[in-house]
Formats: sequence, C-alpha cells, structure tokens
Amino acid sequence: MVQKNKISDSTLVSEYIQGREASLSILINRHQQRLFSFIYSKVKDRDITEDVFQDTFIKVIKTLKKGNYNEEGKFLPWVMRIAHNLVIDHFRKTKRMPAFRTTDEFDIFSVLGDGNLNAEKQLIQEQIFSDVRELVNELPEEQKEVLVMRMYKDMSFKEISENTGVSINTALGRMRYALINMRKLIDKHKIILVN
Amino acid sequence: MQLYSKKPSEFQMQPKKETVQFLINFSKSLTIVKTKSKDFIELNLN
Repeated sequence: MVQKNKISDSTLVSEYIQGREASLSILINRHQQRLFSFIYSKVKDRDITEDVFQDTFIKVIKTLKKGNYNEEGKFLPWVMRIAHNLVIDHFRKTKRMPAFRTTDEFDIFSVLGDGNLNAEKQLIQEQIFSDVRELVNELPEEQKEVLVMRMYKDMSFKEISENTGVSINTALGRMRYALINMRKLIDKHKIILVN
Repeated sequence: MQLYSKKPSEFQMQPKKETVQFLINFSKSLTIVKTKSKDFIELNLN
C-alpha cells in the first residue's frame, strides 16, 4: 500500500542539507536493507558488507554536507552507484594485497594467479559490460545504431553505410560522436571502467 | 516447554544498529567549512 504522507527522498535530502540531522536517519532506515543486500550480493561477506555500507554513507554525508549533490538523478540510484564503486575498490585492493595464511604452511597458489577469471574479476567484468550497455542505451538513436553495428556486430563502415542508408563519412562521424558522448557520460556519472 | 532454543534467524540483510548509530553520530559531529579558495575543510568535532 502506498503511504500518502511519506516524505520524498529529495525533501529529506534538502532538509538534511539545511541542517536537519533527523532526515539522515530516515534516509538510512528507508534504504539500509536494499543497499545492504546489494553490497552483500557482490562481496558475500557480512563484515566487508558492513564496512562498504559504512563507507558508502560516509561519502554520502560528506558529499551532501559539501553541497556537491545535484538532483539530476534520484537519491537511491546515486547511493547504489557509490556503493558499487566502493565494491570495485574493495576487489582492487584485495587483488593487490593477497592474503597469506597465518599457519606455517605456505600455499603458493594463494599468491599466484591461474590466468583464468576468478569470481571477483568475473563480477567486475560483468559490471563493466552492464555499465557499457547502459551507456550505449543513453546515446542518440543514430549513434547507437552505428556503434552497435560496428562494435557488437563487427560490421565494416561500408556495410554500416549500406544498412543505414547514409554515407561512409556520416557513419564514421556518428561513430566518433558516439565515442565522445560515451566518454562524457562516463565523466558525468563518475563511472569507473576497469578490467 | 521449549525443548529447543529458537533457531537464530537467517542472516538479515541490514546493517548492525551500531553501524547506523555510528553514521548518525558521524554526521552530527562533521562540519564542513568552505575556505576562501573554495577548498573544503572537514572538522570532526567529537
């Protein structure tokens, strides 16, 4: 059932920015379960989830207090994006710092990569693919069409030109603008694409 | 009579109360000051 008197996230955010601390508690309580589940689904460890959850809200608090939050998107997707980036940071750090056992036994396989994608790498790669798909969907239709044909269907610009009814030069131009726009979107949404 | 102790509930997908409380306290104690050069200074007044 929809609560008629529920205060919107954007109102709570505005109130919090203006100094009403209680609004933060409402926002945390409202979204904690969803955010926590989201982080846990990625890191599969309760303590790490707790840390990432805490770091996420510390970033949220600092950003809001600095007045750097803009209302372009909605609050929850913004918070989820911060959490998502922190999860990636976590995997990067753990990759750099392999864990050693505390026993006398030394397991060489704990520090040697096997060259295959492990679960973390696979997760990061899936997230990158998903981010890129979302970026492609935000492009203007004619740019998206050319980019999909070139990158996903491996078509030549001559074939693209024949299929879309535009000149090769126009197809090349659309591809160029598609890449420029994707870079702008990456900067705008502060997306980290790593491999 | 309860023969078996209640099985602990499955892992609940929410943070510990202490974590939430920490965040609330952290927020209350944090003051951000903007300098003339438009930099930010974070003051954590515990």
